[in-house]
Amino acid sequence: MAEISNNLIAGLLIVAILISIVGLANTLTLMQYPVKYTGAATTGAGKANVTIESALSIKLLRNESWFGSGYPNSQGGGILEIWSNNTAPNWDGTAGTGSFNNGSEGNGTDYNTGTHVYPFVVENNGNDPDTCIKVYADKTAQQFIGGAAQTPEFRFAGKNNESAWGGTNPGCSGSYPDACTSGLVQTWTDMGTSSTTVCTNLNSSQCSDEIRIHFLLGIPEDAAGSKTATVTVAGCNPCGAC
Amino acid sequence: MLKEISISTFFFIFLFSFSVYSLGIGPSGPISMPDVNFEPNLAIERNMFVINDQDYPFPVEMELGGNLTEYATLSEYNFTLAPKDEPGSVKPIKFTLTLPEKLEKPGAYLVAIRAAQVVGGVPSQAGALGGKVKVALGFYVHVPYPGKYLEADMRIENTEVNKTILFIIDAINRGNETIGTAQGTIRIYDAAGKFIVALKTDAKSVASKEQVEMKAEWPAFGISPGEYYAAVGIDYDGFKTTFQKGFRIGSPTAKILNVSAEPIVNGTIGTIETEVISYWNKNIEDAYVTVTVSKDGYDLTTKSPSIVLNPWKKIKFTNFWDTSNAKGPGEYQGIATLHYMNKTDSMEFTLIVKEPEFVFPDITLLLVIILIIIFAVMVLYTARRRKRKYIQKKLA
Repeated sequence: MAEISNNLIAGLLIVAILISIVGLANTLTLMQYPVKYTGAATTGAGKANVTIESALSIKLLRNESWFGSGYPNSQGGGILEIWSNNTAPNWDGTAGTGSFNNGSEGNGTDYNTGTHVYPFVVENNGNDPDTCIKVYADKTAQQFIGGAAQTPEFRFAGKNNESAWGGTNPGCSGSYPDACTSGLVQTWTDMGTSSTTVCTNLNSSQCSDEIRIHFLLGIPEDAAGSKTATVTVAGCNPCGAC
Repeated sequence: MLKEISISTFFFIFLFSFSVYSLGIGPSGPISMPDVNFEPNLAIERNMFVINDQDYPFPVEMELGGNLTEYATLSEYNFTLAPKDEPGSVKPIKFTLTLPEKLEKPGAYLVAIRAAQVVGGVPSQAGALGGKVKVALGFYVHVPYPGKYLEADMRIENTEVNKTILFIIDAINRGNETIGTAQGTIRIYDAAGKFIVALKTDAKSVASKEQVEMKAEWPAFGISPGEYYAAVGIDYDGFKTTFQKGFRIGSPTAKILNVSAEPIVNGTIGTIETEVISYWNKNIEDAYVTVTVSKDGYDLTTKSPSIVLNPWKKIKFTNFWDTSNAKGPGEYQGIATLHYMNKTDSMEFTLIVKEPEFVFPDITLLLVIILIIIFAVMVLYTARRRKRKYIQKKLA
């Protein structure tokens, strides 16, 4: 196979460059001036359409409430009520400063620290300001706790979080308006197997969009054994959709 | 009985597989999910999505709820969402509803689309409670009532003192006949139930399925800020619908409700708490409280940190007072002043500075001191005995 000399390569390169220059000159000659662009707007103003879709979304920032183990030894007999807020009694019926239920409600996302029984914390992390919050369990109080000496109790109550304890999101500090703008159920309400409203309108603004859900358990003096149940926290719009 | 109780052990734990649960569904809101007026065989399609906001995948179960589930379908019912920001973290779902030829009962039929997080596995320990998150969107299909049937709600604007407050009734005719004339009467009461004023809205004709606005104005001049409620009645062609609505009339003012301070031990730093309420519909920035305490020529003013007063919220300001340079125990006169929006509100109060109470030493400390004394006495006694023995030995 014959070798190609450097001179031949240089010659071919010069020819290629000349052809390119001639082609460019020809194209520019054929073009009409001034250049007209097709598809351009006829006015100087532009308009862009952006569609931001809203989503209903909830987050359980804290989803554990550890009541621990103990004895339903209420003073003087009768039903023993234990719950997850400040004034809860101990398993032995004394005031709430002992090893269980001593009640820092907290506002963080931590749990199982110390000896506190923390409530659930629910955040509206979507952008629907009309998010309704409901709860229900898979068991009735009787199925969950049992006992026959007294009627067992399984209840919940809602409370605003950040307005009382300060914002939990980055950039949020200090006090804020109530996150639940209407219909916050703050009294102990029976937990049912069908959904019950905790808050009718949970705000979606970043620094004021959280509520706590507390639990109360009433244990008859003859109830015993380990207990399991499932609690579902539902967010919906409208409220009836849950 | 006590023995029986004492051997009964309880476990109550709300336990979930992950530390945080989150689930979203969209698009939501009255524009994306509007109500529908019934029409025979009407077909409705809505493109929806379910979204994962967490860093781990989880299975999701879809379900339909409400009164028309037999006419509705979803493109998928069970799937797994990928971690957020990964492909598959947002699941598109197509919802289809084909209404029947006829729905017998008039009224609002709910259609609900629900997405639920499926809890996987059994809790790891005895006595554990599992749980899950559920989200749902819905809308109503309205079947017209025979005749005339008005539904209404009310919006209230300009809710400030010394402004003209606007009441807007949004009324919709859910009946299948035109309403000739509808007019609202709004009776306003204060929080104590005292009647204040009655207002009439303009009169409107409302065709079947049509929505109209009926307005009334109230010049709220000389009205105190606070909570009120409106009892609304709408008369239409011999029928009436009624409802109530609470509202607040705001004023760019804030007020001190009370000042509280426990007696302070002389020479220590005490706290003075001032509870404040805002009557304004917006935030009041940079509000603070100064507290001036005086007695026999002594005068000291402290300033609290500045904070934001939220609309209609109560909040407590804290001032600290160091009594070390004060006039000793006794009664001091105080005045707390709230500063906000170039305005002030003040309240006088009395403050007690008391003598330090004698506190009996802690029993442990007392025991330690007694033991040290006993030890010192024993050491001295032993040293003296040894010295005496040494002298006797030397003399012998």
